Amino acid sequence: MFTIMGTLPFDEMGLKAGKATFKGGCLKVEDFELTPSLGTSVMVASACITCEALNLEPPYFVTAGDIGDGKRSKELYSYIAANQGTLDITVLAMHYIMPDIPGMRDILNSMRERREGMTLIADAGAMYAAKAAGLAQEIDILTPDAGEMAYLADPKATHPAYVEHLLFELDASEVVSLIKKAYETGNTPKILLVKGPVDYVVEDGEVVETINEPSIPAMEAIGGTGDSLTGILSALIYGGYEKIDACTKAARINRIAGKLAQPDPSTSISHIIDKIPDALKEVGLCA
Amino acid sequence: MKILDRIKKKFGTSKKQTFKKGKGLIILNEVSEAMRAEKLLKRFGYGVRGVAPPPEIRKGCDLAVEFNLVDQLGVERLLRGKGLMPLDVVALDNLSQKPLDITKEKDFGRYLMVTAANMKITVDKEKGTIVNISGGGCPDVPYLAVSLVGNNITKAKSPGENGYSLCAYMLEKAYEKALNMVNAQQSRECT
Repeated sequence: MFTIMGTLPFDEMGLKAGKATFKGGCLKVEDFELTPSLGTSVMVASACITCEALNLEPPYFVTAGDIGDGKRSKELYSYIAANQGTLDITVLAMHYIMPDIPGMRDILNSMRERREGMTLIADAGAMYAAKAAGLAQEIDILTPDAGEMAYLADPKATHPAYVEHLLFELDASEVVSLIKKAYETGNTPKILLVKGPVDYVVEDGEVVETINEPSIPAMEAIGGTGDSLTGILSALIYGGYEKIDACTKAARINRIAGKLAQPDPSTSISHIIDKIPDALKEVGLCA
Repeated sequence: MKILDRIKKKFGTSKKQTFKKGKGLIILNEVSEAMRAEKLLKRFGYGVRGVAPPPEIRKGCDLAVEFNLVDQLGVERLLRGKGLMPLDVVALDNLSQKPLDITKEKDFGRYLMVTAANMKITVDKEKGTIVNISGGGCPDVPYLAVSLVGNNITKAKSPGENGYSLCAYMLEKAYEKALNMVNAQQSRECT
């Protein structure tokens, strides 16, 4: 089963788990409905749209309300660790969550015996947790931006706020050098999809694909464009696309959706999500 | 015996490293303050404990409070709210290190984007409206984005008032810079 784990920004919402649906701009899991905005909701909505276009089952969404105190994040880690066997996970995408080293370790330990045939993708807080725990090599794909790449490249940092040397004008060559530095630490997954003005697909420390077209500078300012990318990527992996191919296609689809939305820096992510079906058509993944 | 030593060495070392990863220390002025801080934070559900600070960072009392670094913003706010002013807060992984304090601006014409570490805030320069918040990975970021986007930066509550995490801490840095720049722009327009 394709499973997504991540928090939603609602203080009173307890743990919910069920098939997610996205219709008419509304994301639904169990009895809870919301309009996607920055974070896990955008990722799940993008995954739902991609699954529907590819005639796949929608993702199973395990979520809980957390506005930052981390209490329900802990419940999410525990739930996945305890139930991953019964969920029969084939693809697990982990997203906005309070980075918790023991929580991430519990999830990864619980999966050791079933790891073959399972793809783990981590972005946002789950990516921070995997790296901070020294377990990034147990994830299949991480999706950092350039600033998060500096975090992955700093062996001592346990959060992007504590990166020792952050190069703020991160041009193409600096991102590539950070990629190499990150792989020297050994705390990296086999594959990275580094998102930014130029997207890099990295395998075992080598850049194997570079995607820079269409170029939509405003997307950098729009909250959720990285979340939509991870959602599309996860759905493509679930659809059977090989990992490097899925990363390349996802980067391109996300850029095309951005282009079709004709955004400026004030555009809402919902306008870009709406264009994902057309972007999937443009790359020939559906009719 | 040799085998036992090897096992001890292997597991002893790894346990110590695991123990410190992602932890920070709050240094307070007196032991009594550290004890109060520990009790207060525990009552609010934070995973903390009193520890002896390493000699190189000992500034006041010889009891410090160890906490999960990612909770830094919420922890500091709670302590200050109760009149406990930390002398220092340090990362145990690297004792001399502080959260990044650099911001970068990108001009999109009508819009200004300010980046601090992994967080970005974008404002309409003329109106002062926060139009987008991007980045981060901690759960308070989507929550703060909902409360900030669409509001005027000169009137909105700062992320430091409602956030808990290091992501919110960096968003606060970006927010402060953007606020200063909007205020400067608006002063120029008035004169």
